[in-house]
Amino acid sequence: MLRVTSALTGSAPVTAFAPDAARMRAVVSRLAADDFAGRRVGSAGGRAAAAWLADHLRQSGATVILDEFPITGAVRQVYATPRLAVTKRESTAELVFRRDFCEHLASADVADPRTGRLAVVDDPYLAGAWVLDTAWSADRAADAAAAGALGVLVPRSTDAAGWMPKMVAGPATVGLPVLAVRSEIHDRMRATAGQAIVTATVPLRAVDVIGTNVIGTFRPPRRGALSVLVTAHFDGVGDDPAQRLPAACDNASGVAAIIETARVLHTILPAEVGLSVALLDGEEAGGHGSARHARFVQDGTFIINLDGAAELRGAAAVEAGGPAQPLLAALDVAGRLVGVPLLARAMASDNRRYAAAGLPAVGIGMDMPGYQTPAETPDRVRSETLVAAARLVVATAVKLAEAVNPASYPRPSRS
Amino acid sequence: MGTDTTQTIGGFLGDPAEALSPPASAGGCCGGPATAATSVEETQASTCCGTVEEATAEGGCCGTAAMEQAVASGAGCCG
Repeated sequence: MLRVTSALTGSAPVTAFAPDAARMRAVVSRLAADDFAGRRVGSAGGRAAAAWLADHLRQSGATVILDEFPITGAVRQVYATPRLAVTKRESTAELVFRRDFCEHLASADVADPRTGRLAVVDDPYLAGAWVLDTAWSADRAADAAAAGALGVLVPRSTDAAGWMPKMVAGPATVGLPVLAVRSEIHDRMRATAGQAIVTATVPLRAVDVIGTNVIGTFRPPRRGALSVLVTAHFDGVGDDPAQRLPAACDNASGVAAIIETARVLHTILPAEVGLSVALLDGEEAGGHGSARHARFVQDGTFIINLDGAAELRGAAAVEAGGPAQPLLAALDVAGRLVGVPLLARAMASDNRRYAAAGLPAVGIGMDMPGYQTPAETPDRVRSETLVAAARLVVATAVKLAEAVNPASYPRPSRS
Repeated sequence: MGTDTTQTIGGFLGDPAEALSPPASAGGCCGGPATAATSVEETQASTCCGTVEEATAEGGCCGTAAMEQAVASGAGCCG
C-alpha cells in the first residue's frame, strides 16, 4: 500500500480534514432562500446574496472586497408570466408556463396579448397568424415577421421531470415574439393549424445590470510562492415572476463547498502560500464575473473552479486550461486520496475565462439535479457530495503546494 | 508528519492530460446542464457548448456551432 507523507498537514493526513457538512448545507439553504429570489445577476436578490456571502467570508477570516462591474445587453428578464392559450371550437386551453411552453431567448418583448389564427411556416399567407416552425431559424423568423406574422412557436423538449430549464443569455432578438412549446403539444398544434386561435404574450426584455464579485483573501502569497484561488459562481437564473427557481444545485452547492474548502485550507496551508476565494457573479449570463476577475489575478496563481456539487452519480467532469499540468497532477492524486473518480469532459464555466487569460485553471463539475428549474431545491443537494467536493479541492490544493514548492517540503516517500 | 493512503478508486479515468482538450458536448453553456460524466453516451447527448478550443477562439464560453445548436433547441446559450 502506498502511503504518502504530507508535510503540509502536520500530524494528520490530508484525508483526515473533514469538511463540515452541516455548515455547507446551511450555506446552500441560505442561498436558496426566498429573499435571494434565485440570485439572478443584477437583481435585488443577487445583490443581497453577494452582501451575505461577503459577511460570511469575513467571519471565516478573509479580507473581502465587493467588485462591481457592468453587463450590458446580455441578460434577459422575464418580467411577467408569459401566456399561451389555444382556442378551438369555443374551448380554450391555457398552457402552463415552463411546463408546456417557455420564453425563447430570441423573442421580442411583447407584453400585450396577440391573438390570431394558427398557421404553419410554409403556409403561403402568414399575416395575422401565429406560425408553427419545426425548429428555430432566425432567417425564417425574420421572413415571418416581414410577412406580418404575429409570432413564432418552435418545439422544445423538457427535462425528465417535465420542466423547461431556464437560461438568461441568448442570441440576438428578432422582430416578433417567439415561444418554445413542448414538443408533443407542438405536434398536436400542427394538426389544428388553420382551425385554432392562439393568444400569447412574451414579456421578456434585455436588461443592463451591475454584477458583483465577492473576492476574499485569506492571505496573500509571499514573494515567489504558490497562490491558490478557489472559485464558484453564486448567481442563478433568477426566479420567474410567479415561481421560485432556488438554484440550490447550480451553484449554491459549489459555493458552499468552496467556502468550506477555503476555511479548511486556511488552517492547513503554510503561511507563505497565498489563498483567496472568488465567488463570482454573472456566470449564467456568460462568465462575466470571471472575465472581469481574471484581469486582476496575479501570475503564479492556480485556479480551481467548482460548478455543481450536488450529486455525484459517476465521475466528476474536469476541464483544464492554461499551463495547468501541475494542477491536473495534483487533482489526480487528490482524487485517488479522497476516492472521487474524475473524467476529462467539457466544463463550460468560469474556469474558461481564467484559462483564456493564460492562467492555470481547472473546472470541476458534479451533477446538478433539477438544473435551472423550480425543482432545484436544497433537498436535491446531497451532503456526501458536498463533503466529497470539498475534500477533493482541499487535497488538490495541498498536493499542488507540495509539488510546486518541493524545496519547502519533504518529498513523498513510501513506507 | 502525517500520511495519506492512496486508494484504488478515484482519480482520472484515463490520462489527466485529456482534460486540457476534453471531448465536446458534455455540459452546457456557462452554468450549463449537469456536467458529471456519468457516461459518455449521456454527456454526448447534451447540445451545448462545444470544445474548449472553439470557445477560446470565440473569446467566450461557447463555440459558435454549439451555441447555434443550443439556440435552435430553445435553450439559449451564453458567452
